[in-house]
Amino acid sequence: MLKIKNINKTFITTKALDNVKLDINRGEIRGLAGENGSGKSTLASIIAGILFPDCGQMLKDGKKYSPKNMIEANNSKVGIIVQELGTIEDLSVGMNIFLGKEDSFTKFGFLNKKKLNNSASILLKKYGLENIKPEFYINELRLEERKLVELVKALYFDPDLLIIDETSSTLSQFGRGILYKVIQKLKKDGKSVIFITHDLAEIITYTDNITIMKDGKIIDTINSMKVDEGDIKKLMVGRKLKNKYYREDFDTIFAKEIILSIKNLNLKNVLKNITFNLHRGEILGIGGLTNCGMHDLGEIIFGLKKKASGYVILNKKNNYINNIYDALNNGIIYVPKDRDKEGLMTMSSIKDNIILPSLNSIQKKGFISPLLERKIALSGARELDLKMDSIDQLCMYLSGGNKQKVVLSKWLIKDPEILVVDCPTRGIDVNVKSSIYSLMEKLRLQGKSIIMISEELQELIGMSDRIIILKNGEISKIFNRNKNLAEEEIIQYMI
Amino acid sequence: MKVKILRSKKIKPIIPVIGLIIEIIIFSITSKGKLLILGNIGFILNQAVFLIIAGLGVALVVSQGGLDFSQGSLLGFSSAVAAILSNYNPYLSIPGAIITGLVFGIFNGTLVTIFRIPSFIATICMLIILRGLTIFATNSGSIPISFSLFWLDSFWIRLVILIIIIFMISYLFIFTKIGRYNKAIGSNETVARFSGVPIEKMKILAFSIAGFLCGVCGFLNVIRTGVASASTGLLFETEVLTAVVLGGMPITGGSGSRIYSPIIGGFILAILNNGLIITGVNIGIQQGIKGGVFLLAVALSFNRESIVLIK
Repeated sequence: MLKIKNINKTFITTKALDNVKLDINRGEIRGLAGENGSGKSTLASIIAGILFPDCGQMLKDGKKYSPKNMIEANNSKVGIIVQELGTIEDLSVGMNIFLGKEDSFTKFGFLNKKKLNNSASILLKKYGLENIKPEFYINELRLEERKLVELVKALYFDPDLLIIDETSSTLSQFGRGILYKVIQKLKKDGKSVIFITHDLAEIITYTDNITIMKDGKIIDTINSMKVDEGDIKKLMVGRKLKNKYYREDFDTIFAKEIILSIKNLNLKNVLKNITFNLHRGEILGIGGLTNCGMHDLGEIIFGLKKKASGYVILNKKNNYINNIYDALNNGIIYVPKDRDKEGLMTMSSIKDNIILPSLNSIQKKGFISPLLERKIALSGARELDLKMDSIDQLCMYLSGGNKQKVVLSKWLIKDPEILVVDCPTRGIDVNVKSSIYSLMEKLRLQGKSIIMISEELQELIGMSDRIIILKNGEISKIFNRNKNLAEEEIIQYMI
Repeated sequence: MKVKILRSKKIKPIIPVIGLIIEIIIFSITSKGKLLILGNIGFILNQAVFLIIAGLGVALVVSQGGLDFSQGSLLGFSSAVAAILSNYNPYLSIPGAIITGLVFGIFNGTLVTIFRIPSFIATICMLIILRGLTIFATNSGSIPISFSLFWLDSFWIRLVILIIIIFMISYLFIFTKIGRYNKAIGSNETVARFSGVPIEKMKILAFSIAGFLCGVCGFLNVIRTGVASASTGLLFETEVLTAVVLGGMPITGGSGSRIYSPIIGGFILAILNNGLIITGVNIGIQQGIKGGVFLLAVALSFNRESIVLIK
């Protein structure tokens, strides 16, 4: 039904898709597996009309298929449920479902809300979602419910191909049940599904075939019945990395010394009564759904955001951290989630970025030696094995992984005691990810403390000494490092 | 694609110099050689001095991604203050002009940092307010400067002051953290803030220096012309910004900022003004050409990634 040939896509210097060839048959449920950065989402976006390929061809039912946007894709009966939030907050459930198709409920310029909501009710009931009323506003719904509304919306125009991009991780048992039912019904009706998920057990159970991607290339497509999780992992990650990825140890006890105390942090509608301690040599993971407040927590600890009440205290000196200068003066640094906007200056050179926080110490008696500056920047870049043409190269030409290395390098020169990192390996290819994990391990052993905020459960499980799960701004549960810790256990406290 | 962009980055700093050379050639021809006679070069230098001194200050502001549109009226007002004070006590004249410039520069900085008014708007408002003050101070007429200061109207004194200022500001920009902080703020203010750059201090400093240098220009101007009038400095702010951009400074500031752009740009503009006059071009067309050149320079330098021009 869908034939894809020679699709290539490059983002500045990162080759996201390399000569991708894919065929999907009618009535097939195809799983798409791969690490972050393997190209799955990029491929899905191209099929769904969100992005354009640099070259290559797509054919649907034998006819040329090149949607210029999602609406055109929808008209060709291709739909997608995206990874991020795909609903509009200030509209009602009903309005979201029929977004773009209000005309069928409009007469003489007036929108017949009642008719629209009735149709929405019928649809919602069809999928067992009577609890969600079409009049509800999206912001009143929990994340899972919002995703289910997106599902209903995608199914409305009766797609031949539905792409589900990493949706199941945000759903509870109930939501997943509905999702699986929908997938199976689509198959029965001769429709196709591309199912993208990190959950390998899920992908084996609910798909016919699985395509594995790595570094923008299709590695292989295998029959779901003939493989187990280990096989898929091997293909996804590659033999070399199988051993040293996350931390090896499982029973190290970090020092009892408390480095940083967080007491009763409150921020209206965002955080409620957050209290915990950070110990020396500890990697403290913080997880939860995207809007649980963990990102704001990171900003507050670094003094970026003003808290309504509560304290962030550096124990050794009993210093209160209230703003960025306090944080920096007390050895706390911050690696933000949004690399390109907040992490580094993309229009400046690698050198300018790396030395920026250290200028005070580089300047001696009112003079900065350009030679010294270069030397320091080069040594910082080399420490992290940064792949660049020259230290004067503009950062916008670097890959995501190397950009993150620049951000890390600029902070590591200052030898910080406490690192607050938010989504440290987001959008980074496997190899660099591995080196960042090694770096974190090295820092930990040196006695540095790391607060790692992450949306990747595997990462949290693999790297943290303790994991604090936030839910709706409050601490839901604290997990200790454990070999047998499973994603399902953690998710329960997140949703 | 990569090679093309790399090459253009190396060429970019040379373009203004090439432009300068071409300009000299064109005007030498159209003016039938009058451009390069000694007396005329003197005229050109006299105009360039003001553009460069004020331009160096404005360059600091622009490198941060800001704009200073108040220079024209500030020049006028500092000239008026210098003239008025000279008639009471000539020794007060220089400090008077300079302090006036400094005070209003600090005021601009405060409007932008503490009151968070975008610099574009804040400085245009100051342009209007200061013009009003100038008209008031000169009683809508003109105030002559005291004779005792006429000896300061010397080409060499201007040249020495120019060289000292060029040296000091360039040093500040190239060899101290101030230049790097400014470029960082212009490149990405958020990242700069996260990296510990004292944003507010740097902004106030830039505007203060711009004001200070404008005060210096105010004094030098009133010495040269002998009077301060209600219209002194009219449109000077536009000339200064034009000079800065013509010299290669990206209007959005950031990492491409070069501190010597006001120097080259000052000469380019001074020669442009002079060349058009001695060639005998109609005044209306002159304005058109100058405006067109400014537009072209901005369009070429504009960093399209940072769409927020008004900061």
